Amino acid sequence: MTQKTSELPAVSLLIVDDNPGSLELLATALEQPGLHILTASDPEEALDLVFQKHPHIVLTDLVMPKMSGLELLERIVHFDPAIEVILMTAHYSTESAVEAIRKGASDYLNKPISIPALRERFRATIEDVRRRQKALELQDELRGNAQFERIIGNSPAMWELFSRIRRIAPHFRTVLITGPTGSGKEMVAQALHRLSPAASGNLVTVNCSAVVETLFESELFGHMRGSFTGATHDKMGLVEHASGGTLFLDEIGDMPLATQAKLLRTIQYQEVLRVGSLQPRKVNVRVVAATHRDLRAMIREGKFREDLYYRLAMVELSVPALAERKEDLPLLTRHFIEKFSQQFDKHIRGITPRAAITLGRYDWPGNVRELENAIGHACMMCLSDTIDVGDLPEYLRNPENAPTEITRPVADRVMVPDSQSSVPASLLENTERQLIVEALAKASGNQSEAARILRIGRDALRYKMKKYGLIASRSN
Amino acid sequence: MKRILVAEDRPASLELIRTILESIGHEVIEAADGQEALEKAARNSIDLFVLDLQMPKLDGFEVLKQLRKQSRFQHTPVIAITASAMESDRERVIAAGFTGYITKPVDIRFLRSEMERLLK
Repeated sequence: MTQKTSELPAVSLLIVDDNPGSLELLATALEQPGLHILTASDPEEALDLVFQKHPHIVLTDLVMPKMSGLELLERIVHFDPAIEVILMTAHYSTESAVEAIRKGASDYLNKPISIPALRERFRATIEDVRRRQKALELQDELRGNAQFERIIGNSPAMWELFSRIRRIAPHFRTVLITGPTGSGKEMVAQALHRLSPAASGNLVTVNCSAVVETLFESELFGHMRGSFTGATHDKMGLVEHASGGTLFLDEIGDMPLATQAKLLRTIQYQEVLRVGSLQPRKVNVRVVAATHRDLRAMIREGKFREDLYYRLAMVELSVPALAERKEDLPLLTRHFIEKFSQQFDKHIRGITPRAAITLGRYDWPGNVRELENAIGHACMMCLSDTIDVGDLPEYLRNPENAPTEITRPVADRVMVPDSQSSVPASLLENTERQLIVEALAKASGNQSEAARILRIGRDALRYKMKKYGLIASRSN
Repeated sequence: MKRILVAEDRPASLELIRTILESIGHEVIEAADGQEALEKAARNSIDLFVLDLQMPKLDGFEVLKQLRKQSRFQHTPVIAITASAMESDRERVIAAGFTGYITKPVDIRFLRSEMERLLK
């Protein structure tokens, strides 16, 4: 149990009723320690108070002149969906209750309601608000402990991974990290390096899918002057650079076969042969390789060397997909919200329960990286201090529109050299695409109008629409 | 997200319960009477039932009885919807083996907290 704070956090309640008599009655009836009560006798005054004082709870009458309780509800939820709005009416109907809940009301009360019953209800609501505040604090505390070498997770799958990293790091010579795209294999490699006796040496990362095949060997092993056109002087390779530290070979499945043979030699004998040299050089290097591919299948297809595989896979760490550790979503979500609100200089406190539910329903094929992009997008879109469903990328809100291999727009693929993997587009691209979609919607499909909204030229807009696979609809 | 089967013959009331349950992230399967409830239960996996007591064809008590005969629904929570908050009704409902009950008009807050309690 956490220690009880001597003082309960104050909760504020705004009561809205156009009848001054019942406003006063309610305020008196609900008075209690730790509850700060505000009152407003007209909805516009109420909205001003909501913007200025940011109450936790709003209790409002349904039927009022100027603005109905439902409209007030809508505007409050738009401002901050985390505010609990309770509607109250003498003209209760099931239909209006349905509408209120759809719009985000947390409760809908039928008048007349006895004072004790109302007090009892508020006791429960206030407790909820306090519990939520406490949960936020507690989550902050927990997060301190739910990090292992900058990797975030508090699920059994991750505990297992952390414990394996801890056991392996002091002793390994080679490790193979497997796991789907975006699951954080590079973070695991970094943790292995930091916890190893070679931590003071270099951690050299090579993304094998990004190296041009013909330059692979010279990049890795170095070359001698004159060994090929353009080799104007002797050059040290990345393996030598990593000597005394760790060489991290990301996407090892993309390494050419010839290079694989030389890598195996380096691992076995701890020496490199620079291209054009006959004199082996001694190195002392730990090798961490990572892949999202099925290397055994690649061996069967003759695309990966079996001997290298067995050498690497003597110690294998597998990083779970995000879908296998959905219990970590709240922790990860908070972590990314904090990161992006700092980056964008915004004050975002958290996420509404329904937005959290939306995140929980999605399968995250792009794993933690995709979640990071989605939260980054939401933080950028968010106008209040709480992320709501509307701030999330479109494909999360409507899972039936989720990108699949077939319908995924071109932009989502250009990033990825390997068309098999389903890495989502970068945050920047996602956001740009979203802004274009929104501008087009606002302009009812009229491209000139949308271009004006975006303050770019029509041709630029057309180019981008094509790039993002947005089909132009007829302008009205 | 859990899957909840709601059997209720009055459409407005069914709509309200569905909206409340969906607002807290659950999936709702609807049935307009007891017979339909049993048919849909046979075809889907259900985490919780909400049954109106007065329904055409089969009433809530009968549906509960049929559900409890099936091993897969022996321990599934089943909540009754009663028209009145009479003490005698409450006793009848609990004695019949319902896990809980809600009264009409549906109390939004109470229904939400019951779901939280029963679907942990």
